[in-house]
Amino acid sequence: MARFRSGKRYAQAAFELALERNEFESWQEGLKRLADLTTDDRLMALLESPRLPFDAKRSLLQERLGEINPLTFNLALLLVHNGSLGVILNILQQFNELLDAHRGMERAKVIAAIPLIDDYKEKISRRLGEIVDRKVVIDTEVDSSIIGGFIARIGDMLIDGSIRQRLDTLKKNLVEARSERRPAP
Amino acid sequence: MATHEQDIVAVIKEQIERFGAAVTVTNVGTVIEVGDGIARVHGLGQAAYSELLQFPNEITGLAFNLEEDNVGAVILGDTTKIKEGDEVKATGRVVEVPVGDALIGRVVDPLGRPLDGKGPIKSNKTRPVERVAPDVTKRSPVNTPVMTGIKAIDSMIPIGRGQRELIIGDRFTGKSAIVLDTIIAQKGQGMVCIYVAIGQKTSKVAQAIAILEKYGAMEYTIVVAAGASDPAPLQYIAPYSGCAMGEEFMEQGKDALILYDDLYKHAWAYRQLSLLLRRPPGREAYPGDIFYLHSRLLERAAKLSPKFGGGSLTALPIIETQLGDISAYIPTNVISITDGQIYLEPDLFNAGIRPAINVGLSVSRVGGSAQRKAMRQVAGRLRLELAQFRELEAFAKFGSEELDKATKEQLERGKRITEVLKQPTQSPMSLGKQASILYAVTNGFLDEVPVEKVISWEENFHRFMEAQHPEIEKKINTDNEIKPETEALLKAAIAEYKQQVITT
Repeated sequence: MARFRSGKRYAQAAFELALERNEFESWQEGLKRLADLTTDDRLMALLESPRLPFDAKRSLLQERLGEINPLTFNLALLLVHNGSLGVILNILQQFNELLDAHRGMERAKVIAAIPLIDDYKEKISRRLGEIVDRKVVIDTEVDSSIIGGFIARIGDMLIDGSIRQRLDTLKKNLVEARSERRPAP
Repeated sequence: MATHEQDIVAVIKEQIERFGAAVTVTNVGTVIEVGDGIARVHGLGQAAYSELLQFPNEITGLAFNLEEDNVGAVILGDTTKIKEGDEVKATGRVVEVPVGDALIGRVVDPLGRPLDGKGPIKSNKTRPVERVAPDVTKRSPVNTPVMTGIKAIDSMIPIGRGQRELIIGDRFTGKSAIVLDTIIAQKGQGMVCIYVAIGQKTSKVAQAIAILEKYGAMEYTIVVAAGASDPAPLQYIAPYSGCAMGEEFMEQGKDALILYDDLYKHAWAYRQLSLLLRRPPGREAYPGDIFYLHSRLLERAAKLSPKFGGGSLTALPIIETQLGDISAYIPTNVISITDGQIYLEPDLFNAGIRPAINVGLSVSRVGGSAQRKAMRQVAGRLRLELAQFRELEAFAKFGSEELDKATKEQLERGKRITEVLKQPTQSPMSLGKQASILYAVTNGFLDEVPVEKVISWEENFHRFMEAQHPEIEKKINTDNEIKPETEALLKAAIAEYKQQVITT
């Protein structure tokens, strides 16, 4: 099994650079363009090939990226040099998370059985914000299998207030009660 | 049936009342890699070491490696049912197994789920599988024997309640046989036995269970089985599960016996998990904490002081060596942890000496304090005599005309003692029987019997004693010693038997 590689360190370095120069949008834009490049398999094969000289890779990147924050471009070169370009998606993700945290914001995913009206979204967002003590921005999703209520996922925390979960617990308790009382065959 | 329905009604009532309040908050993560019995989970920032994790499809795992941004988990179940992207919940609990009397007579897996098809385990108590061993203040010295019913062991390598005695030897030297015989011998001794099969062939475990059932031993035995085809994490926790079950009895003031068959395969399972989770390999690719793996398991066997109930947990781990190498890594580790070892040799086995115990290399560090007085009275010099006999055995090859009388006598005595110590499997002997025959052989009553006839002499002797003088065995069993009047009776009985043998 290949080892999971984290872009955390790169993301932290990139974030600090962006913070120093207050260039968040520019960095975000650049990282996104870089991440999009990785979907091109042929380009990736060339960039990761040891037979191609570094300068050739540099010009290739320059050509495909076009206008980009010069430090972001340096990051791209660093990654190509280290052979770690595949981690860019993770770097982008971590960078966005760091940016959110910096802005005192947290993203949450809310799953509800029916589409939520804005009033509810507002209420949930506020309540979640109280729990994590930050401003919470929610992305909603509809899944009718939860029957009712909602499930919210913020970072590592899962808040499950769905009807499905309560019914499952009820079922489990009933099954346990039944198996305790049943006389031995 | 009315109560049955009422209980369900009560549960529903309670659930309805509390229905509005049941919003759960759990710690979650996402599976990023899975395979080979382990999974890597991104997230779970609050997970604790060895915390139980809930995967989908009712599969559980243990948080094994806590890394900066992911958790390496071992899966206690079928990894094929887990995929990348699955949600993993932290349960806030550690692995627990059901414990208590409900488990006696059952065959379970290391998580306490039944394997014998006899219905669910109705236990209302669980215990964590990992636990800190009782400290010094809670213990008291070992002073009661575990009678294995095997003459060679009970006389020279006695095991006490609360001791750890290692049974070590090559394959097919009779290690499992000793263990099964010990379980069978516990009938009526007030012990609960737990047989933990780690990495064994399922057919072998089935055979063992059949033997135990045949001798009525399943009435006081629990079998915990993690076979060779079970995932390595299950094999890894199997001994700890069994130990937790044994500790329950120990803390109730009862005596329990636990047998780990075998710890080498346990070490292999742990090595597999550690290597897959990329923990740095050490000697022989075992992880650095392979000693701790076994020491924390075996330290939980103890004799508790009367203040804490006076119960005991005796552990008999088994290690299968390769080509008699007892100085390999794992055997030396376990030898240094246990209070003695019983060493079985293939040469002795092939020469017909079964149990194939090498008395010279075997030791019990508890020794005489775990023996009944009756046994101490007859077995006191046994080890020494056998040791001297072995030294002289080389001379036996020269033929006896060239040796002096004393040496010849020693040789002849030694040969007869060796014959007496042979014993078929599944035939445990009580203290009284063992004491009688050992008394006879150490006091020279078998000196005139030809060596090849000793075994049948002994068989018939026991039959004779059962028929004509059953009170002697009974008396020794109740007194736990050979009182002078019992000795006189015994002498007379032996003389009577010998007379009978001569006339037939």
